[in-house]
Amino acid sequence: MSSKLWRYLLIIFVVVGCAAGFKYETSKQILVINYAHVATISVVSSGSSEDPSTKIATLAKNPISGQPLRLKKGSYTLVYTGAQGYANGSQSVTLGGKKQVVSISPVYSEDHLKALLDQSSAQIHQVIAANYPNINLYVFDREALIDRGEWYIAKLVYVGADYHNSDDLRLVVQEKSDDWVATPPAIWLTTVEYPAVPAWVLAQANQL
Amino acid sequence: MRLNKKFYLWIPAGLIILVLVAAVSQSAVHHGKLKVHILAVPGDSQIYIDGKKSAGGFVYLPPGEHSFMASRQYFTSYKTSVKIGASQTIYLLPQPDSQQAKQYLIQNPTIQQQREEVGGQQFTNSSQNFTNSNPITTLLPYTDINGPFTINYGVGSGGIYLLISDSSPDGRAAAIRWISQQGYDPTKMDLRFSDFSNPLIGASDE
Repeated sequence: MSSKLWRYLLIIFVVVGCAAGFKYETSKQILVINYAHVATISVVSSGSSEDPSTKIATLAKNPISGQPLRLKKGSYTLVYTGAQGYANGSQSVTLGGKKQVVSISPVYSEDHLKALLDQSSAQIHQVIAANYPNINLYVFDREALIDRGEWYIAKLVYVGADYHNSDDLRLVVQEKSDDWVATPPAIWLTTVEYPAVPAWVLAQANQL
Repeated sequence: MRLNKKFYLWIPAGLIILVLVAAVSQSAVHHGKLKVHILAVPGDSQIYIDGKKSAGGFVYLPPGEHSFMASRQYFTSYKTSVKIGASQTIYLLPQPDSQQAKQYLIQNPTIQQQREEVGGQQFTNSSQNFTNSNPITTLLPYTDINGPFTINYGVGSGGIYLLISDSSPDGRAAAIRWISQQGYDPTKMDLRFSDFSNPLIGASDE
């Protein structure tokens, strides 16, 4: 073969090599996961978190928060187990053109929240009774602490004699600086009436 | 002769390049802005956008709240603030409150006719905007005799509210379920219950 042909082949090889390298580099993206109160965390391909064969990266015990991961662009689910007293959970993330920084902050586990409720319910009920003296017209049908235990939600069922106003009511009480602050109970808690309470807290109270 | 041929070939090429450059620079100037049609009647009104004098017709504005004003001799200035979120037409109608302005419209019936047409269009647009912003209103009033409940809407200072009336305790719960079933989130709505007196709030108010 002539040297000219070799030269052309070399040029084609270099161009194809560069293109392949460029494609490989641009197909990856950086994911930074910051977390606290997490025991283990895994990054799994989205939509197949239950299939262990799809696990592509695992940050095992004692993981380092903030460690950058270089992953193929695409959708992933971060599956985590909470540290003692914290809930397990998952969070979706999509890696595209930009580096993604994800923060994971688990809420308290159900058991931990229930234990906290047992400790705090007497104090919360006292606050409610002080604010609403007619609370004896209702029984606490369902109640719970949610998130990090700073929100108390309850469903009150009427046991009085006035049928026309015997609707179930919902109530939110928030812990502020070691004090519990009650918001007015209502048939349905709305973001319009309670702008200071996050919508997801109202939604959970309404679903009780 | 050859030179001339080349020269004539360059003319259309140059024109195409000029058009392309103009189109690119035009789109760069208007990048991130929305095309807004300003229509003032009478057409010789002075127009101000965000306090600055502006021409009528089509203008390009960044999305967000903008103030518009049209003023004309003898007419009361028309001021409005509009949150621009999409290309739209802003109608500005200075009011003929003075005798001279009324006289002007009598002498110029075409302008009076334009005012009426624009006023009608303005009403249609505001009705359409209201429906677009509050789609649930197209389903109201709604009555369920089995609930029982009736849901209607009213307009308050913060927007619309849903008034649930002719109801029992079960009816009010059914009304909230009905709102959810229509695809709306009752938690994000202003709900008012005309037949309900909250036993707890009443006690705390006393």
